[in-house]
Amino acid sequence: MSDTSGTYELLLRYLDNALCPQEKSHVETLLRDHAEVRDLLREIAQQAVTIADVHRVTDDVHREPHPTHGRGADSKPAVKWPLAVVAIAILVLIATQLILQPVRDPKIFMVNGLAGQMKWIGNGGQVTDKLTAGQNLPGGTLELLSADAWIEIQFEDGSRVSLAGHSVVTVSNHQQKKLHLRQGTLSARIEPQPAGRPLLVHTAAADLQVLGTQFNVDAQTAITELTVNEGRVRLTRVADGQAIDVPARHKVIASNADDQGLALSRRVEHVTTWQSDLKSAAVHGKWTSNLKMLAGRLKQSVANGRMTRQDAIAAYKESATLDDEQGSIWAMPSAVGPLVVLSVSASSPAPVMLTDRGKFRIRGRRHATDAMKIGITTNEPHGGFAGKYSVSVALDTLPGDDDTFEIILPLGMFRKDTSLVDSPVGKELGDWWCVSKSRFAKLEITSVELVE
Amino acid sequence: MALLEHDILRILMHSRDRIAAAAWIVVRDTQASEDIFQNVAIKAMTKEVRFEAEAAVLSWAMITARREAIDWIRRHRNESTVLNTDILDLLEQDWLKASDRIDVRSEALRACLRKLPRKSKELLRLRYRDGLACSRVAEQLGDGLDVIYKRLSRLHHTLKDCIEGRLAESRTSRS
Repeated sequence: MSDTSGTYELLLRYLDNALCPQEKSHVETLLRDHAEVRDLLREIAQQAVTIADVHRVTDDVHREPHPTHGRGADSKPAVKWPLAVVAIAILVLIATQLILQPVRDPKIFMVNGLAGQMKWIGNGGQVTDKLTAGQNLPGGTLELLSADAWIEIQFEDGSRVSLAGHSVVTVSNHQQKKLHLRQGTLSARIEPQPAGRPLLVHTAAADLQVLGTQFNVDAQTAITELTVNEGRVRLTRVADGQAIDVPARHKVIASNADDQGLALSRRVEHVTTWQSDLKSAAVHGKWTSNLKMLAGRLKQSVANGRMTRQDAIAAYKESATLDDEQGSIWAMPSAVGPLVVLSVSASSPAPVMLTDRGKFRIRGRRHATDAMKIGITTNEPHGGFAGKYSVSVALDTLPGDDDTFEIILPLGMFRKDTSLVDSPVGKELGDWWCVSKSRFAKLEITSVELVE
Repeated sequence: MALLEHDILRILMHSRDRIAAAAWIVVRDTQASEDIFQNVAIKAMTKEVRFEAEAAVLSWAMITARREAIDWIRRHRNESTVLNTDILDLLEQDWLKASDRIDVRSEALRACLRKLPRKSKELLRLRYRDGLACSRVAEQLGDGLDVIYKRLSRLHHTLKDCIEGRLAESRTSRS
């Protein structure tokens, strides 16, 4: 078995089912009789999974050097044209560009890194979903389409803004930087801004003025939560114009439905466990009370003739309570499949720190056996996006009674999606999400906890 | 004394590439083999399985990964591509006997991959990250099928030599 490359080739063809029956039988005899041939097969397998893993991480994080920084080692050598011809060609090209090209917006920021599905709408409505690290972009709208999506952009002055999860922001820089955060989570480290021209962040519920600081904003339809880690940010509530200065290590929640004064709260010490409140924590997904679910099931039973109307009413009355807070959350369609996203801050006043003893306990009901991906978004303890981690789970292999399931996922099982750091331990939990791998699967979650 | 959950997870994570590779030999799909490894780890955490020693964890994980992989093949592929049981048994024994620390070997492989020329990385990415059959890789790269098999064979060989060189180097520097 000295021709190792030849044996590799034979094994590769065998694995691809590309051998005739005689050759296949020959390879199987080799595998039975020669431990060194099995070693080569194991080597191929191990290299395959490691190569995929390396590419998965680098493709996701897009930290490749900027393509304009140099030619690749295997680039073809440039053809040497006479200098005069080249000069004339360049002049003609510039003139043509000046005459024919529409006026384009100036580039105002650069993409530092990104992962997941997203699109960019700029330059008068031009849409692209092919963003790359190092790309310079003009003003426009960035739309992150998946729960595991993430992007960091950088302005010329070094100010950095990152978005994570389902987020939509419009960016402009006409004399002063403006971010219109329609929804989602934004984290920013802003360099000192020129006097009289602070960076402005607009959400549906609040306007923020930033002179230079580190802060996180979580914007939902009518509520904006601002956490300031360094410096100071002025928040003005849209509904009534009430304003408040938020100092470092403080947070404030502005709601259009709130007629009380804006209340500052100091960031409290972190906790290491978390119990989701599905009703208030749902950023994506539909919360349904148990009572409503029961009513639906009873109606169906009556319609199918399995129950009389009177029996159904009696069963409903028997189960009815005034407490309608118990329920479950159903995944709603998204660009990446049926999705549930839970905001951690919505159900925990204290930051939730991830420890090496931490594990998620997730309960739900299976309505399909498709695999799902469960993930978390993490933040640095002193502010800023830290990374996304996820794990895939096949529901049909999990233990559980009837249609219910319970999954225990220690943090050590989560793999990095977009972080440069291997483990989420030591980070703060930003949000929890799960997405079904099948576009049409029903997904119902009844409880999510972080326990130790 | 039974191993604690934390120890079981550490053992599984250290042998992650080995377990995923054992699954890959059956399914020949890197994403599926990664999912199978994760399922194995979840089962180890979720089920009432007690392990007394590291070898028991690995042996159970290998058997479970094989079962999951065969199940995956049944659900996703029509044709029979699974290796004969006796060969899978032999491979399983080889995995369990392997003396190199798998995480050290994986690290060496990662370092060797970084040194490859871009065109080689692209070929490996198409074949193993994107999971394209060699015939599709040949189409994409505009090469003949035989050329692709030969290039892949040489790459696997080169990487194996590089890994062994690195492991020998680190052994020498330690002694």
